[in-house]
Amino acid sequence: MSEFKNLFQRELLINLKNFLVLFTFSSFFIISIMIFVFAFGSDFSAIDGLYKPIIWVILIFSITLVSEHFIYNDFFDGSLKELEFLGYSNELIIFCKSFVMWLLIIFTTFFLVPIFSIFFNISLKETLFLFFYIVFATPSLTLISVVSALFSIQLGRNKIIQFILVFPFYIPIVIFTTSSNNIQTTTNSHNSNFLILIGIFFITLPLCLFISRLIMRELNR
Amino acid sequence: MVLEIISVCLKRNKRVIFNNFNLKLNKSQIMILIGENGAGKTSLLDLVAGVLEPEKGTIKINNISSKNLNSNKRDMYTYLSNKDALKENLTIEENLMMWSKISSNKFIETESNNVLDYFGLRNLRKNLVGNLSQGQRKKVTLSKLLLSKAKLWLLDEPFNSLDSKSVKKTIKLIYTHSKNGGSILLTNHIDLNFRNSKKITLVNSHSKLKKNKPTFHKWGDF
Repeated sequence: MSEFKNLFQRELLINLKNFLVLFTFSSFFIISIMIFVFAFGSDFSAIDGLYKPIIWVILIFSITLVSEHFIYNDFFDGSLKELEFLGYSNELIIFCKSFVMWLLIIFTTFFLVPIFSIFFNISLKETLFLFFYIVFATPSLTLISVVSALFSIQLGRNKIIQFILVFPFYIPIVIFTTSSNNIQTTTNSHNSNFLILIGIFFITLPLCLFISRLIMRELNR
Repeated sequence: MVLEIISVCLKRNKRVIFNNFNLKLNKSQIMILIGENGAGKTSLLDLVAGVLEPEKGTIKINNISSKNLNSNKRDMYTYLSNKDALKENLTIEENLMMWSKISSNKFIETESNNVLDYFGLRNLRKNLVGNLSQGQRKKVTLSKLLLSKAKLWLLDEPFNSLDSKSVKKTIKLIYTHSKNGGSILLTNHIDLNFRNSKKITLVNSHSKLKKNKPTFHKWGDF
């Protein structure tokens, strides 16, 4: 537990001090929203059913962008290797990084989602559900993006291959986060989607930690 | 025996780096690995630190197999690798404090002045590492040794980027550690004149292969 605490504090300190992490995420998010808003114009009826796919596309891209700060910097300055020879397991390193990344994303989206809801004319109830969807879906998205960042180091920073390799893993999450759009949106249907997202997280967690361990071992060779 | 490497074989990128390599490091001993670039000096330290796994052979630290060390690694040795692992957006003080925390060493505020004074970093303690020169960064990395309680030091090219005054201070630090019962395994590409030290020369397997000589050649009086 003390190992987790040490790593957690380290990640939090580094990333809170690194203004670029939050700035990259927020600026990408807001600029993308603005592009969509200007593209659709003032006709809100045209974007009424589209806001969910839009926000998830923006989220996936911005999380992928942020994951670079968490993994690349540590790999290239030797910190990742340092943590390994200090005896921290690869799984714990990745878990702590993903956890801190998730916390920062949630903290930022807490302020960004209301802005998004104003631009897309979303009701308060829908905004709340959207926020909960983000809370339940982003742990899996974060883990996948961390694996994706590790892949990109292994593949020599080839972002296209990185995205092709990891993209299929995003699909189930996107399906369940946007599906409430197609059916009658009752609290029950939302609840079942939340449970499915939690279920997906428990599948993603061991899988991503295992894959990360394999990639990190390969990186040291 | 502080460190024992027994019949270790290592391959990297289909190239044999070590074949049946042996090494013994005793208490208070300073051992220097000398060799040209690509000879395997860093790979050997990575092997000892458990970052790389040997194809064959055993590595023992304080008679415990390195495979069984896990979190005890932090108490057994301090490894300063060729990359400084410093965070550019943190100050010198924050970097050292963070390192102390993750390496299970203590960073006491009152003692930190002595640590920073050794390499003349006291006035720069609130400076971001990103604003420092390569030499100053190296001094910050070497300051970790002053915080370390481990008996075994693994140092990868510790004199790189340092001015002559700092090189002397680093050598003094190494001797003091050795006198206090510590052991040091360090790499260097130049043969520095270290008193009471044992030297091992690693030869680049690539250059030897071309001349049809053995893929690995070593000598030393250990």
